[in-house]
This record gives sequence, C-alpha cells and structure tokens, in this order.
Amino acid sequence: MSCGWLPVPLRHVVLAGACCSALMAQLPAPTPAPALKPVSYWQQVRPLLQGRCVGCHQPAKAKGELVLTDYHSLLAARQDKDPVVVPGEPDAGQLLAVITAHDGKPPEMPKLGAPLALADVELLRRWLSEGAVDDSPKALGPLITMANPPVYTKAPVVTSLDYSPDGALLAVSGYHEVLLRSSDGQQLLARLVGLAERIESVAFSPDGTHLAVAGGSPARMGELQIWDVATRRLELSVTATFDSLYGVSWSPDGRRVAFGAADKAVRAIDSKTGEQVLYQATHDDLVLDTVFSKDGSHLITVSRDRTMKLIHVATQQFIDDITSITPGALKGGLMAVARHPARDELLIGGADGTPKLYKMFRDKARKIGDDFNLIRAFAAMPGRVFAVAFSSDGERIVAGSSSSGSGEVRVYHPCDGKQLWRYESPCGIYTVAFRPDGELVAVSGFDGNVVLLDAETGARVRQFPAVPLGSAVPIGQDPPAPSLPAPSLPAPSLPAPPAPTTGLQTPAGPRQ
Amino acid sequence: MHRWQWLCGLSMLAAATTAFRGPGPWRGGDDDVVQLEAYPKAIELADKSAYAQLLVTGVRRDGMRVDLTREARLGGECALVTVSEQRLVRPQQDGDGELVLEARELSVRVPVRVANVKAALHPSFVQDVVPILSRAGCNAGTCHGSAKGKNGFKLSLRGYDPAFDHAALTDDLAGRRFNRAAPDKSLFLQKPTAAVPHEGGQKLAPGSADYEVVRAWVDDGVALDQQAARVDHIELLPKDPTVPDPGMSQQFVVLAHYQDGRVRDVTAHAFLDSGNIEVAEAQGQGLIHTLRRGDAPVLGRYEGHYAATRMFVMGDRTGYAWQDVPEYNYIDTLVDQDLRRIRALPSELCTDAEFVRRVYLDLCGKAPTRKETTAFLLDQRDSRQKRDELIDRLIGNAEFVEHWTNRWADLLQVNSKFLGKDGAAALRTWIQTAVASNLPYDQFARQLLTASGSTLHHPPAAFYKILREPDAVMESTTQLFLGTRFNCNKCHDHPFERWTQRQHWQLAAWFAQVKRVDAPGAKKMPGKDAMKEGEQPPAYDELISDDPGQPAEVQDPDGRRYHNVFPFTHGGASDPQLPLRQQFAEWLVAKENPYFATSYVNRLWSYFIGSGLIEPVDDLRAGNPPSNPELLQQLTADFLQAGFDVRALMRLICHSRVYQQSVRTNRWNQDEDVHNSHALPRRLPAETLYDAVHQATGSRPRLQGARRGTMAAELVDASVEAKDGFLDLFGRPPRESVCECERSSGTSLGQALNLVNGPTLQDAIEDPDNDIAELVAHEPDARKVIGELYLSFLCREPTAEELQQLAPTFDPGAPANEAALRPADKKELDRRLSLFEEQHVVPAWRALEIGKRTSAGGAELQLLPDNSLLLKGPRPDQDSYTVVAYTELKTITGIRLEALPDDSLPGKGPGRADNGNFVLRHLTVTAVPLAEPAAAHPLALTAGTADFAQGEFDAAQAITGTEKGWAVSPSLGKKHEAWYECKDDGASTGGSMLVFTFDQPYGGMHTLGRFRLSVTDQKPPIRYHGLPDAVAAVLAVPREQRDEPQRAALFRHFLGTDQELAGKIRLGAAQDLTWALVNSSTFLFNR
Repeated sequence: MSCGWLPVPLRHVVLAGACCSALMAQLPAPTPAPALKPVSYWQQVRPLLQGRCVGCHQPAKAKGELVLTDYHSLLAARQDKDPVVVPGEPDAGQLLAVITAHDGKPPEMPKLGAPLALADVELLRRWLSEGAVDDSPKALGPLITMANPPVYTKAPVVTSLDYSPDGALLAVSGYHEVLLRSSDGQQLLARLVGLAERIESVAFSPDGTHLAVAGGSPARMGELQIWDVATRRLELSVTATFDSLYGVSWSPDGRRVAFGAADKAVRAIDSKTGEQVLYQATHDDLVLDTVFSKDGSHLITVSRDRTMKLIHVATQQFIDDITSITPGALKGGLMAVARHPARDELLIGGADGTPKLYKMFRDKARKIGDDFNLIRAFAAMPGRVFAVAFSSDGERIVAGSSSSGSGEVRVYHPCDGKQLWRYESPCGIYTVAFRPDGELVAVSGFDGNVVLLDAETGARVRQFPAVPLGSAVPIGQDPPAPSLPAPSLPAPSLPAPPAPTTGLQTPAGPRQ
Repeated sequence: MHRWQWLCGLSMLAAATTAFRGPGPWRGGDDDVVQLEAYPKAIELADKSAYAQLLVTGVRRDGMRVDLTREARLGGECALVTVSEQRLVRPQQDGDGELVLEARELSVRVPVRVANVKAALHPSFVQDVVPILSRAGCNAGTCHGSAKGKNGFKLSLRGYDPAFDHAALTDDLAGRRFNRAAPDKSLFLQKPTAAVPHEGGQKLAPGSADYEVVRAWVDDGVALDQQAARVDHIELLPKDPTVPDPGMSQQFVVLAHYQDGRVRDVTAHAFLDSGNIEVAEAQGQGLIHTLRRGDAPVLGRYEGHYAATRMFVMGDRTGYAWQDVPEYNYIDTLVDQDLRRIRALPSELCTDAEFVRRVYLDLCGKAPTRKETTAFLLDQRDSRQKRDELIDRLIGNAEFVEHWTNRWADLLQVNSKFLGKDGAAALRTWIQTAVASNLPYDQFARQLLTASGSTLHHPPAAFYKILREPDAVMESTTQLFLGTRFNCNKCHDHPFERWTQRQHWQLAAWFAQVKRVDAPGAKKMPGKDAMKEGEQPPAYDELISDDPGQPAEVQDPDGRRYHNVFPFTHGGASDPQLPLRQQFAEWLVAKENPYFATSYVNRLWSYFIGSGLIEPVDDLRAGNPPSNPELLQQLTADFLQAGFDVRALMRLICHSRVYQQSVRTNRWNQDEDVHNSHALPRRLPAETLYDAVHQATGSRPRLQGARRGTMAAELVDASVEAKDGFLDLFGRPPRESVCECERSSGTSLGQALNLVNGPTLQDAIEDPDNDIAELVAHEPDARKVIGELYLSFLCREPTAEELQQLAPTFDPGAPANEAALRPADKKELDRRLSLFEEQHVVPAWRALEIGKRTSAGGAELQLLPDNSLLLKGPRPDQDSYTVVAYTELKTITGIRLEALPDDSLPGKGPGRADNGNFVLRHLTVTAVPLAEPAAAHPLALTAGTADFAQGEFDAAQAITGTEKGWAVSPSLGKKHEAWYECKDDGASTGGSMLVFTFDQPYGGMHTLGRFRLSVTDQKPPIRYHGLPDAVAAVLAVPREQRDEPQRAALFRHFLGTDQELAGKIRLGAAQDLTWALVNSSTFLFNR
C-alpha cells in the first residue's frame, strides 16, 4: 500500500512511505510493482485499441485498409503494405512507428485527438516484445437463443409489427427476437430468436408462409432473417453491412426480399438462396423503407435524405425521384412507404409529419419546381410520421407519428383525404398495421405496448406488452464472445470485410 | 539611397506594444506558509453521483495565498469517501466522519457526511445527463453539436436544446440509440465507451460515475424532465486569486446555483478556460496552470451559463516597492490601487510635447499645428495647470465637435449607400448638433431609437432606414448601446454567454411594429451597384412610424414566432401603453440597465486610453471581466450621477494622471499593458493620419469626389477616397455595421509601402505650393528649417544630436546631397555642370623662355627663378618695357600676364605705384618666326579678361588703344592675371620669338612691379574663368582623372553659382526629412 494518488514532486514520495502506508487504505490501488505480468491482449491491448483506434479502423470504414477490432485482423496481412505488427519484433511492424513522434513531428496516429500516452505506447511495445500473445477467450456462441430466449424486466421499443396475410398471426419486434402472437394478441405463439439484437422491420411473405426480419446490432452488423412460419425455423440468415438493416419488403411473387441499410444502399436477395439480386446506392442517407411495385418490376425506396426513389429491379437501375427535385421543396427525412394493394400508388410518411400519396410512374416530363407525382397530402400530424399502411382493400390508410413523448394514429380515406378518426397515444408510434380483415389496426412504439384499435372508430380495443415481462434479472449483460458472422452480402462500395470478427459486444473491460 | 537611409534611421512603423517578457526565477519561497485553509468547510454527499472538489490553500507569511490542493495529503483514514488525484471527493459509504488534509506540516479538517450510496440513482435528463454529454464533448461544435451533426447523429450545440437532444437520443430512428430492455446495449453508451467503433474515440469510461448516471437514466425509462430546475448562474472559486509565481497551478471549484436555490459542485462537468493563453493554460478538471506573469481571466462554462474570475500571476518582484505618485483624481487612486495589487509602478508623466499632441489627437482627432504646439510649449505656467486649461479649452471646440461627430457617424453608418448623399449629410448634421450641444447620452440614444417621420427631415429616423429588419435593428442596438453581441444567439444559444436563441427573437420583436413607407415624392437611390442582386434600392426618403396593427412578434427562419420580451429586467420603469420602440428605448437607457451606461463609459475609456477596461469594447459579458472593475463601476456611477454628461466624463479622464502617463515603461510595468500603468501607443486613424500629413506639410488635400482642400475629417461619407486608396488602406471603416471592429488600427505591409512611396504622401510632401517649399525658399538656415519641420510633424524641437546629424544634409555643396534632387533636376544639374565646364576652360599655360628685356625708364627687369620678372632700380613716373621671349609652340592662341606681388615693391605690388597699383595702357606683341625672321608680324590680341579690374580699367583696355588700360586697385598686394586671346597667325614650325611691349604712360609710377608671361595654343576662346585657384586647378585636370575631393570642390563651387539648383537640393533634403518624419513612430502613433 502506498499513495497511488499523488503524482507529486519527488520530495513528497519520500514522505509517502512514512505517512501513507497505514492511512490511505481507501485510496485507489497503486500502480503495479516492477514484477511485471505479461501484457494481456484481451484485458489491456484490446480496450486501448478500442478507445483510440477502432473508430476509424473498423470494418465499416477500414481507413488505410486496416481493421483493428480483433486480434486476427490486427495480424492480418495487407496488400502491398507493411505488416501492422510482427510478434516479438516491436519495431518491425507499423504500429509503434505511427503512434510515436519522429523528428519533432507529432505522431501520425491517431488522426483525431491527442497522441497516445507514453505509458500506453510502452504497454503496446511490451505486448509486442512478449510475442503479441492472443488471450481472447474462446467464443462461447450466442447466449440468447431459441432455447434461451431473452428475459425482460422492461419492454423494448417496438419498431415493427405485421399481420400474416390470413390475419391469424401478429408478428411483433422484440429484443433479439420477433414474437408471434395470435391475431388478437392474447396468445404468445412463438419466439423467433436470432442473432440481431435490434429488430427494425418484420414482414410476412405474400403467401404467409415466411417471415422476413431486418435488423442487426447497431454500429456492428446487419442481419436479414427468413423464417419458416409453420415450423418456426430460421431458413436463412444473411448478414450485410456493419449496421442494422431497415424496411424489409417482399416482391409480390415472394421470390425477392428487399431492404435498406445505413450504408445508404438498398439491396434485394433471393428469398430462397439468400443470393443478392439487387444493389442500388443512389440515396444520400439511411434507406429506411422499401416496397415493390404491384407487378414486382420496380422497387421503391425512401430515405432520411428526404427522397423517394424508383428502381428497376431487373436491371438494378435507378429510374427517377418520385418526390420533387426542387431544391428546398422536401422537408425532413422519409421513414415509411407503403403501396396501395391494387394500384401503383405510394403512401409515404416522414419527419415533416404529413403523410402523402404519390403516383409511382411519371406520365409527364419533369420540370424543375413541380411535384407532379403527388396525388394528395393528408393533414399534418404532430411530430414525425414513422409508419404508414393501407388497409387490404385499399379504402383506408393509417399513419402513426411521434412527437415529444406522445404520439398519434390517424386513419384517412385515400381518395378524398378525409380523416376518419384519430387516436392519441401516450407515447410515440413507430409502427402501424391493418388486420387483413379490416376490423383492427395494430399500433405500437416507444413504450413497448401493442394497442389494438377498432378500425372503424379508433376506439382502443386492447393493449398488451409486446414482450413477456417478468424476471428481475435484466437481459443483455452477456459475457464476451459470440462470434458475429461477417457480412455475407458484398457491398461494392466497401472493401471486403475481414472474417471472422469477434468480441465487440461488451464495453471495454469487465464491468463491476 | 538617401531616403532609405533615413527610414532605417528612424524605424518605420515602430513596434506599438511592449512585448510581454518572461518572468524571473521563482524566489518567492513557498515554505513560509503559516496557515492552511480548506474549501468546502464541510462536505455533504447526498447520493452516489455527488462529488465535491476540495480546495486547499496555504496562506503565506507575506499574505499571499498559494494553492496546495494537489500537494495536500490525507492525514487520516476516511472510509466514507475516495479522494482522486484532482482532490475530487466521491462517496464510498454512508456515514459521518472527517477528512484531514495536510500540507507544509499544517493540517485542516473537513467534516464529511455521506448518504444514500446504496440507493438507486434517478437522474434528471436536463440536470444530469446533458451536462455529461457536454463534458464528454458529444455536443461540441466539432462533433455531434455541429450544424449537420456527425455520422448521422446530431445534438444541439453544447446542449442548449434539451428537448432536441432528448428526441435525438430516444426518438430518432424509432429509438435506435437507447435500449430499455438492455440498458448497457444502448448505442449512446456503447459509442462513447468505444464498445462499438466510435470515430470520436472513448469519451466515457465504462463503469465511471457518469456512465452509471446515464445508464440509470435509461433504466428509469429515458424521461425528459423539461420542468426540472435550470441553472440560474454559476460561480467560480476562488475569486480573483493571485498566484505567486509562474509555473504554479490553481485549482478552481465551479458551483452551479439552480433556480430552486440548490447549489451543486459541478467542477468535474464544467469547462474552464484561460482567457489569456500566454499567461495561463487550462489543464482540465478545474486546474489552471500558469506560465508567466500577467492577467489571465478564467472563464467557466456550465450548461449555457458563464462566469469569469480574474487570475493574476505575480512572478518575481524582488526589490519592488511602491512609490507614491501624484493622484489628480479618483481614476489615479483606483488605478494605483490596482497597480499596488499587481506590484507594478506607473510610468512617469509624458512630456508637454507628447501631451499636446496626444490631447489634440484624442479630443479633436487632429494633431496640433506648429503654432498650437509652440504656444503650448512656450507657456511658462505650471505644466499641470496649462494641461488642464488646454483640455478644458479643447473640449467643445469646433474640431472637437467634428471629431466626435465622425466617431458617431462611423457607428451609425452615415453612408450614402444607405441614405443617399442628402440623407447621409442630414444624419451627420443631426449628430453634429447633438455633439455640439453635449446632448446627454441617454437622450441621444432615445432620440435615435424613437425617431419617427421623414428620414430626410428628421434624420435620426434614418436609423430604421439603414437597419430594415427587426433582428438587424435589435442586433445593432444591443451591440452599440449595450456592448453585447446578440447576433451570436441568432441561430443557437450564445456560445459564451447566457443569452438564448429565444431571447434573440424575443428582443427583436420589440421592433416588429416599425413601419417604413416611401415618403411622398421620394427618389430612388442612385448607388445601385451597392445593392444585392435583384434587390430594389430603397427610396431616398422614407417615413418611419409605429404600426400598432402589426402583431408584436417576429418569426425565425424555421417559422417559430416570438413575442416581445426583454432578456433581462431591471428596476427601471417603462410604460406599457407606449409604442413598442419607446418602451424598448426606456428599458435600454434606464439608469438601472446594467449595460447601457457601463458600455459607453468603457467605450470612451478605450478612445482615450487605447484599450477598454473591457475588451473588445462591445463584448460585455460575464466571461469577459473588466481589468479594473472598481474603476469601471465608479466611472459608471459618476456618469449616471452627472446625467449622462459625456463631456464631463471626457474631462475627468483627460485630467487624470493616468491619461497623461508616458508610453515609456519602467522596470516594474514593462510587462504590463492592461492595468493602465503606462500609455499605449495607438496608430493614428486613417483620416487623422491623412489630415495630419496635409496639415504638417501645408499641402491642400485632394480627395477624389471632394472639393480641393477638404480634410478627411470633414467627409460626410465613406465613399470619398484618396486616389491611392489611402483611407481604406489605413483602416477607415466602411460604415456598414455598428461594430467598432470595422475600423482597423493594425499595421500592414501595404501601409508600410504606402508610407515610403505612396502617392498621397508624395503629393503632399512634394507639392510645390506647400509649406515646406515656402519654408526652404525663405529660411536659409538649415537648423531653423529642421526645427520647424520637427515641430510641425512631431510637435517637438529636434535634439542637438538630431540637428547635428541633419543639418549637413541641407548643404547643397555636399555632393552626396545631390541625391535629394528629383531625377529631372539631377539631369538638369548634370547639363548645367557640363556647360559650366565648357565655359570655364583652363588652358595649359606654357612658360616662355625670357630673353632680353629693357625698361625705357631705366629700371632693371630681374628674372626670378619662377620665371617672373621683378623691377628693380629707378622708379620712373612713366615707363615702357620690352621683353623678348621664346616659345616652341607652333601656334599661339592666348597670352597670360600675371601681375605678382612682391615684398620689395611698395604696398607689396604688384605695381610700382606707392599703393602697389599699376596701369598697363597698351600691351603689344610681335611674333618673329625663328625659321623665317622676315615674316615677323604683330599678334593681334582680340579679347582680354582678368581676375580683377579696377572699375573701367579692365584688361581689355590694354589692347584696345583707349586712354585707360588695366589697373587693379584696391585689390593690391595680391596676384592678378589677365588673359588675352590672339588670332592664330600661323607661327612657324620652329617656334617663335615674341617681343612684348608694356606701354605704361599713366604716371605716378603706375608701372608693373613684378610679372610673368605664359602662352598657350589651346583652342579659343581664351577667357579668364574667374574661378578660385583650387577650382581652376580641378578644371585643369581632365574630367576622368579627377579624384573625389577634386570633384567635390568643383561641385560646391558650381552650386554656389546656381541658386536654383541649390534651392532644389535644400528642398529635397527637407522633403527627405519629411518622409522620414512621417515614417517615424512618433508621427504615425498617438503616443
């Protein structure tokens, strides 16, 4: 025991032995004695790299074609470049060279922020000298599984819900899972637990046999799941990009599934094989929702970049902005799109709070300043519109919004724009769906409760938590290690991500 | 070059400020601490996120306080808390106890009470979470607080909009960034801990107290508590500390006072900055490290609130002792008090010469004339008495009115671009009237702000013609009259002050009802090119009025509407029935308004002292403390007491000793320039400089677009300019905003170049009609010329040394001074010198071999070794000599007769008359070619010239056969010579015998006493040059063979004969001196 808290001039250190040994037990532990333990990659090097380097040298950015998120990528060879580290030879690799000052010039790295502390550089040097040993724990595999579903003390935000085409099932997003409930919500029929922590979007296939789920672990990976509804079996798990996937939709023939992503691209895969069949990156911000045209020949996407775009599926070509291209005409990002069940008419909602109905195809040449495809703008709702949907007969539309801690659901006639009813929610609404029989509207959002509303009057019929609440043990504090699969879909705009990646789930260092 | 030599000598644009010197070694001795104090007196930690920053202060024997916070150690066990390296006390377990702090063998005890350590936290978003985001830097302008956010995530800048931030964290992208089911998986905890890749790196340590607070907030359900009590103000401790020595550090505590009365230690979450990074630097965690002696305001920021305290670093002052100096009024008392605190000594008084220039420049915006200077300097009364009298005389005179009118015209944008020519003139006239009548400052502001009617006929209303939008009026008004920058908070909350964006628009709404319509018959403005594209030029004259029908509200660019609300209230009353503008004006000018009077007092101080007590003068805010708060307060109180009497305030400042201090520093103030211990040199403003140059040279200004002779100070409008852009180059404000910063007082390379060869200066200095030309033409004494120039330009007499150095440059005879001539004159000089040389040929005279010689009167002609002939023997009344001589020259073009003095002659000669005169009536020469004696013939003498002649008895008389002849009285006893040109009669090749006859029948023994003959064959004309011997000797040397002294002698002689060129050289010298004087820092600066 000594005074660990006193970086004071030397003369005080002399005093320290006399005064402190007995008196300062409550002070933080001293720095280690000279008998040095070998440096741990997992406990010391990895957190250091995470804190100072990984912001740029990560799969989603890979500045300098370098990824430092795990041991293997740190040692991986780079084309035409010197190795980053050479075990046992601290000065042979690039690592120490770029983080130390030379010839009076500051260190090359990190580009942002202060240079690494000398003690940290020394730590890395020691680790390299000691042979750059990897002491990462063995991957344990996912802790939350079908067999070991999440346990909730508090409900997660509900981001998405969908009725099966026959109206028998209601799929609702949870944490790490999608919950299948009976049509009235009363019975929890199944819990489809997958890899993705956050579910962004769920959609039944047109024939109702499959459920597509888009989501991922924010800032780490995106996953698209396709479940066999009858058997509750995960048929396909496709990973793409290094962030969540959004706005999943099926082609009318059920052969393709499209989804948006944080990398500003939209993709579609073959729903059987998982093979990528479409890639388009015309948007300038997150692509948040997608829908196919009635015949499946076109894909419509909306984005936080405020635009709705039309893409030709067969050629993967961008066709047109359906929304106006007049500078300043668009207000706020778009978050939801739905297609009329019988016509190529598109309903969108976004940050300006005004649901709008658009013609899909332009039949008149575009002029700057026009918004020709706009059929109708509905009355503005408070806050931002996060979700829109048509009834299956196309006679009504529903939109849900969130505004400063409360929300609203409104149902309109699409033909004349008349508002039928309005439901004021105590929390923001992020998802809405008509039951196919047209009798109920299911809505949910911020507080994690699903509310069933009478589709005619807007009266609340029932409310229930989306997930089972129970155990006092909060979920999500899993120990390190389940391997994240590398994205299986190529992203042409990014270098091929290294595989495998490990261990990004927990905060740096063990928590008390 | 001559001129450059001068410029170097007098140091162009001399450094204006004293450099801050490094401190001496620390000899303070830190071991004489006699007492230890701790802050807080008791620590109470009510939950597990609470903390308290300790301050441990040692009081030294000499009374100075020294921060020992980080040096202090714990002197006993206290398990209740942990104490960090920065001495931040955090709770560990519930209970009561105490901390013992020890340092320098002293100790101090602090009772500690800890409670609720085990209880779950229920943090407030507004009070707890946002400060953590700020401290971590999430909402910094360089990160997610930037206008576009970062990586798709945007927060309000520095957390000024908690509702926006709350939506970003909990609602954006359907709640993507938080996770209620698994709080630790919240993206906004994983990003700052770098658990997932985060370009900003790790900003929050997992498991840290801050992490736990944010996590607990997620766990609680991410509520937004807009109604939570906000911070009312923050406080920095210790207040105004003095740190004994550079290199020491000072720990600060930041306390937040909430609206509900709660006080909380927020040191770990507040931002602390040094306002002077040369003196001190912030090291984070409330610690300021000092670098050198001087002032460093310490600025604290927390949750949009700001506070500042003044920190002073003393440094080694060994040997310092205060010396009493006269205190003319309380300004001096308060400044001296401040100087004693920082252990500085004031400079001595400036000289009368410095004072007279300074006071004219400051009060009248012009340098004194030579006459004014001289009158003051010659006034033999007591210096203080005559200074005071001059101050009182200048305040209010015509030039004073002109000057202060211009000051206001700058700030009120008197600009024809906005008002048309007539409009600008009308507004200026209104200002002039106000200044001339010493309109109380509050009335001035009130009249301006409440003016209605025609902008042309009621000019103050033009304020609303220039400023056309409520927010523009409001921003200008606050900057002008309150010295605050309300434009910063137009788009977001003020970054350095508590003002919010909402307050910006609410204040602007007071001007929402101002109505502007074209006056009947108004013309359109001419200056179309000054307008933005597509913008219609406003009509020349507008009618300004209040329209109560308009809603009292304004709209921001996002469409939000705001009603009129004052950003702060004070005790002053304002009648709500009045039109909005009048209510605003009453609120503005109220004596209770803490900014109105203070900001003007500060502004005036800066005008006279060169630096405001608060700088910049229009940036009053909590984070920008005055250098001498007591003085600012007292001056403000006085100003209010006197009913906003501007002249009284000026008088007070000028009468102070502080105003009259020298710019010269002493050992104890050389590193100080904010505490008014010495005067600050200030570069003359553009217009003053322009006018000073013209006044001192006496050249009439030529401003383009103004009548000849118009001074820059008289200009109504900023569009008039000198042809070389002099006024703009020297920083004249364009009058497009109310900011003092429009005027540049800096120095630049462009200015330096203009000062050495710019057209404005050249035209003024080299103007043939200016006073310099006049002076040089009429004053032959170079010393007097120099003296007058010094008085005109520098307001002082030259020193003896300067005179000694400068006087020779005025001597036209010194060849180096010909460099002062302009190129054309130099060419003319060369031409005339050549001509002179041509006209002053000095032939090569050849001696003759003297043969037989006779005197008709029986005298003897004795041949002397110098080949001259000396008359001896009888001295007849009349005589005639015949001299035979021989020459080898083939042709003879001239004959020289030298009449020489000799001691043996009466009156030393050269004649034999009693007085030494002679009269040579007839000189004839016969040439006998030796080869052909039969061809003997007389030589015809055609011209005769001499160095001297007695009246009409000139040398030519001796060959023209008249009854006169050549005589030399009264120049007797001296050598004289006569030259005779002769027609070449083709003397033979073998040389000639020459027979000279000297017929001298004048009588009275007027005969030559000693003489010598020589001949030349040089090409005619042979004329006597009339030059001194030395010069003649030079001319006899071929031009290319002359050495420097020979050339100098010739040059000096020549210019003695050419007064015009000599005058030009003297004028050139005077002009060169003028260039140098203009380029001296004494002229360019108000010192």
